[in-house]
Amino acid sequence: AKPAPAPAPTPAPAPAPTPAQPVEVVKWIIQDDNPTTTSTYMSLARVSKAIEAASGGRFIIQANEGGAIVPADTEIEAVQRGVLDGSSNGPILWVGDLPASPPFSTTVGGPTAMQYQMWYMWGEGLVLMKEMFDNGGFENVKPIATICREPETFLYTTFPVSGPEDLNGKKMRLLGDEAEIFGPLGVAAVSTPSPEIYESIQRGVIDGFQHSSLAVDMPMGFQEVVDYAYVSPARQPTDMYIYLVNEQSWADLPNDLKWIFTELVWAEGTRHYAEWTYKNTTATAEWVAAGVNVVPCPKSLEDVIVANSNAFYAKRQAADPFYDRLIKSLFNWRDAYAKTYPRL
Amino acid sequence: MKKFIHTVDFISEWTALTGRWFIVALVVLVTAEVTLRYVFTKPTLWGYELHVMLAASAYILAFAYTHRHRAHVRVDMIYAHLPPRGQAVIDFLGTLLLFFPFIFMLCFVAWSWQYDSWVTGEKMPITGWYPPAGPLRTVIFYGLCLFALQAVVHFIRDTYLMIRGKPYD
Amino acid sequence: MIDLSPEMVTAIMLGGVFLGVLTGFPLGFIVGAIALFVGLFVFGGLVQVADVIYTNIYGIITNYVIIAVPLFVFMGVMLERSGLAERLYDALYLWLGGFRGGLAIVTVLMGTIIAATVGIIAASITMLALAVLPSMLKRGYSKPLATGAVTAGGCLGILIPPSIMLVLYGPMAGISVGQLFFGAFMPGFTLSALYITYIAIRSYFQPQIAPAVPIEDRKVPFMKKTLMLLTSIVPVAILILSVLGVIFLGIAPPTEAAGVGAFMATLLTIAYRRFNLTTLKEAALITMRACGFIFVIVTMAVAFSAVFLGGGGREVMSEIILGAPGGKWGVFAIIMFIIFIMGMFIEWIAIVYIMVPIITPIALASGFSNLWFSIMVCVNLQMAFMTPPFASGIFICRGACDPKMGITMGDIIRGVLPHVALIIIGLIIFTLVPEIITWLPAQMIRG
Ligand code: NA
Ligand code: NA
Repeated sequence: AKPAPAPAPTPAPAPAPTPAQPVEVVKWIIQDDNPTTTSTYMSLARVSKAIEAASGGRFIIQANEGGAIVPADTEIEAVQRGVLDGSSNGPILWVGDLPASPPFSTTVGGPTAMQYQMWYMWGEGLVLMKEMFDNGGFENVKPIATICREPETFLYTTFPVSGPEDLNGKKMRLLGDEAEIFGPLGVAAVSTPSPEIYESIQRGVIDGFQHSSLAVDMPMGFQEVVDYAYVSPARQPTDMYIYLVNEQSWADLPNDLKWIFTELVWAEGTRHYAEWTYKNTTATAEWVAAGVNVVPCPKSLEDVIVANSNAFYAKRQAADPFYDRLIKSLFNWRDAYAKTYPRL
Repeated sequence: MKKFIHTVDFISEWTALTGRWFIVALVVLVTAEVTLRYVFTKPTLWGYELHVMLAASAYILAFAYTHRHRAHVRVDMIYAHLPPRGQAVIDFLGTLLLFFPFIFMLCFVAWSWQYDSWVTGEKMPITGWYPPAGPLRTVIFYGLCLFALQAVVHFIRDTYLMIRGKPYD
Repeated sequence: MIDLSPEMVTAIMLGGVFLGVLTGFPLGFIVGAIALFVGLFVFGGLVQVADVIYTNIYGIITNYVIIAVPLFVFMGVMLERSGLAERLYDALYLWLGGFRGGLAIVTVLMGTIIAATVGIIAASITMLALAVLPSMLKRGYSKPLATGAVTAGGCLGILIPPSIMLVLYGPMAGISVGQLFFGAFMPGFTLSALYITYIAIRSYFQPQIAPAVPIEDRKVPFMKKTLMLLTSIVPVAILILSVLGVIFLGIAPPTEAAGVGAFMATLLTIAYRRFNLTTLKEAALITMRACGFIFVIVTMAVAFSAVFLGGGGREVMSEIILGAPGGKWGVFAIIMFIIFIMGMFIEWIAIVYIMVPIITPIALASGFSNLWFSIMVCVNLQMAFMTPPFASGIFICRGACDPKMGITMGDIIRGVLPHVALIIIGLIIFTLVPEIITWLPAQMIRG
């Protein structure tokens, strides 16, 4: 991506008769949960630069990658305890502390990326999330705004899939709830640490996995080691990233900086989506050139996974009233759009 | 005093003698997991996080034991050439000024993490198994406290040696 | 609260470590304490910084890939007990003992072969010291030459895969461990070849430091010689298969392969009738003690790195490194120099955890391949084991020597320094011919 044009220099003010008061500079430490080469970190770095420029240097954010200050995926605990001023995270990884968090990231067959973004902007997203924080021991954490990520690749495999029956007996790297959703198809769920995926699929320790999207996964070299990329937005239509802040850091922030922060994150939210959906369309050709069959996911597999997921959600909804409200809120939001814009 | 010192030594020793079985279990379980997956296509859901729990516990339980044998790595270019009393002065000052503030703060936060973990029912989040994180967090708290106690014990020894010029025991 | 500038943070933290370690107080304790004190200013409170340290400890010890460390240590200790090295030596001795410097060459060869079975240096250096040192000294080899070959040959154990260093490095640099494994083979063999060449040339001109073994001491029928070689190579081959083979054949990724290797080493010890419950208990306890010191350093280095990055140290280091004259090669040279200097004073694990998050983004931005650059750093770290004052390779060799042999630290240091120079030559070769690193991994990718 070309860097954004530098902001025009502000005209030098006329020399003041008395020396100006020193401007108070706010310094924040924020951490993303991904490495520096990833799209979410790039967004955090870009937002931070934009905020510094827009505030005339009064608000400086140190943008860290996952693991720099605290281990990746534990940022929310650090924000709660005031170690970080803020973080940029995928809720799916809060599941250890907040069992209802995964639908805040994505739902199988649920709202699309833009619908999620709107649910957070104008729907119940941020309110429900804050409620979850307050009841789950994260009362010092405040969700501010979100970034919508592009749909993920449905599945990468080294074997052809024409329907759900082809997954029977295959070893797949699946994390968290996906083990339960794919389990009924006879899939053996393997827990492969992320740095070992490349070797594991290359040498046949696993037969398939899901990770992220074509453009994001290219630097990991997956196009060198898989044979099929099954694309469909059904399994993971988006992966929402939430900008969280520590309540105290937020309270200490001057009002104008609050505005700058909030609006620039929202702006980055849609920009991120536009950038990476576009990059995926161009990355597809590169995957094909690398010898990978990039093909639509078979409808029969999509249907089974959506059905299994709905069963999984129903089970969780019955056990947890908050989860029930959350899923209903999301799916009603999706359905309202479907009524007005049937084919969007 | 002597009794206290020897009790702490004994607990450090006993903890490592117990913790070593975690290592043996780890070797067996990892091999079993590979066999189950490769030969039978039946990987376990719980293997990954169980291996992590065993290994992490072993590391933490070893801290005090290694310190008991004064086997934490030093650059001994100067240290090795000092008389025992000189070495005791360095260990006395280092423990007092550097290590105590550090380990006591760490024990303090380790307590709060393990307490919160049990209260909120924190789970280990990677696989679909979702085991509780409380047991490991408690082991960490225990291991760090034992590490601190072992440091206190050595500190008493160093102080005695520094002042009296002969070993305490 | 005083606001520490990033420059101050950098100076205090790095300067503090260098001064601190010289006192002889344990390295991990110093690194951790500096993180606490500087972190107080960076994160604005004692509880906050203690929290940063705690979460980093928790994060690293619950990292799945790290379980390769205890597994490799256990495997190495088991192999020491198996008597495998002695058998290998008895066989190679008969074949190569007749050349000037032949036993030292056997030592490096054994180091290279054993390196393909073990993941740490403690095991390989100890095995070599026990198996070959007494025999070399009895034959009139000079102490520096003999201990230099043992230490440098043994240190190959952590460069030639399998290797703890590569297992720990990969996730830090965002590169797959398997890629690093394949990248490290050729550089490892190249260093081995350099060591052997050096020993051969030096002994040829100075036979008094490495005399040939007289013919009557190695008169064994050809058939018997061959049989001994085969029977000692077979178990080694089994071990290589049980770790590298397991990885290559897609049975398990590197972390789990370490577990299979540990299991197979135990079976081997059983097969050699060297196994009983006491052996198992001892091996596990030695592993615990090694874990104790390794993980105090690892966890403290990670915490140190967090405070350093939080305090803006990365930007300062980047400026210093990018300010080097000579474009990208100037940047490369200064990174290599910094690692070399750190290697003299600090345990390699701490260097990996403190430096990799800082240098990797710089190297990538300068246009270096992540694989090539990572292997270059790992080859560089080979020197850290052998450069005093803090040289764990030298310490381990010293610890493994029978006191009756009268070997001093000075003997070992004199012996390893030529090998340090050879590693620098190796680094220059890999810079001029980067394919030595990149060729093999490229063959592993589907065309
Ligand atoms: Na090795
Ligand atoms: Na060194």
